[in-house]
Amino acid sequence: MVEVFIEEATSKDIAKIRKHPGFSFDWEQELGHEVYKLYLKEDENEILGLLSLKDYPEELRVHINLIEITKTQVGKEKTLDNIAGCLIGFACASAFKRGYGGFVSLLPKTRLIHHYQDKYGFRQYGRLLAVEYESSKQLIDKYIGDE
Amino acid sequence: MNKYDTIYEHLLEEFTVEEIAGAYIFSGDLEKNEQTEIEEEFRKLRAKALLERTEEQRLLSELMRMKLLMRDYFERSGFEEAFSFSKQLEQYIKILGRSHKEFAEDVDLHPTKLSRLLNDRENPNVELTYRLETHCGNIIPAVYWWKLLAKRMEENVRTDDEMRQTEKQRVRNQLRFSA
Repeated sequence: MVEVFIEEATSKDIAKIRKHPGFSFDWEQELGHEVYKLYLKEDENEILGLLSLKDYPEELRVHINLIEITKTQVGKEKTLDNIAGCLIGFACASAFKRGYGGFVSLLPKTRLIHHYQDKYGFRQYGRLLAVEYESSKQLIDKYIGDE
Repeated sequence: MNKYDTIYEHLLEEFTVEEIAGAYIFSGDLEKNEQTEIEEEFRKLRAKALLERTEEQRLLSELMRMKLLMRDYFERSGFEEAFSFSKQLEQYIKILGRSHKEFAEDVDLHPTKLSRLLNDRENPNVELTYRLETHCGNIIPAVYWWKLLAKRMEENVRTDDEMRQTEKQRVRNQLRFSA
C-alpha cells in the first residue's frame, strides 16, 4: 500500500497540467469549482489525479464534475490501483463533513453509467447517479479507511 | 460533437470502455435545455428524499460527519478545545438525543462519573473508549476517542511549566551532558 495525499490544487498546478501529456481535459475550465489533486507522499510534484467538485448547499449534495487520472495510471500499464476510487471516497467524505449525508452525484456519459453502478455502487437518481448514507460510507471505508 | 466527446473518442483509441470508466468521470454531451430539465427533475427527487429521511440515516450522517471532522483534527497540529474528549462526548450524546442519565446507563457508567467526564474533572480510560466504539455501531473507532484525550495530554505535557518546575525538585542524580 502506498500513501497518497489529496489537497486543493492551485492555479499553478492547473497551469502545469495544461502542458502535461497525461491529461486531456481542460482543467482551467474547472477553476470556478473546487479542484483537488492527488499525489504520492514521496513525490508531491507529480500529480496522479484530479477531481473537480461543485457544491450545491441548497440541495445538500456535492457533484463530481470531472475526474481524470494521468494516462500512465490508466489501462494495463498502470502501477497503482484505485486512484479514481480514492478521489470518489474523498468526495464522499467532503459530502459527509458538509452535513449532506455523504450525498455525491455525477452525470456520466450514458455508455459508462453501468460501470459506475457496478464498481462504486452509484444508483440512478433521475438521470443523475448518486451515492449517499451507507453506500457513501462504504466508499470511504474502502478507499480512504480509518487512519 | 462537443469537446468531451472528442476527448472520449481519443481515449477509446488507447483504452477500453472499462479502463476509461475506471479512471475518468465526465458528463455526456447535453444541450442547455436538457441539462436544465435534468436538474429540475433531480431537485424534486432530492427534496422528496430529504423529507423522507429516516432517523437511522440522520444518525449515520451526523456520526460520519463527527468522525471525519475528528480525523481532520488529528491531522492538524496542536490541541483545540472544541475537540476535547468532553466536548466531543457531549456532542455525541446530543446527536443521539439521549439524556445524560440514559446514556450513562447505556455505557455502564455511574451518572456522577459521566458528569465528571463531561466537566473535564476526570479523564476516560481505555475501557470506556471501547464501550463508545461499540455504542456508536463502530462508526467512530475506540482509537479516535483515545486520540482526543492524547492530544490534550500532549498539549498539557508541553505547556504545564508549573508542574515541570514542581517535579524537577523531586529528581536526584540528574544526568548532565556538556555542550
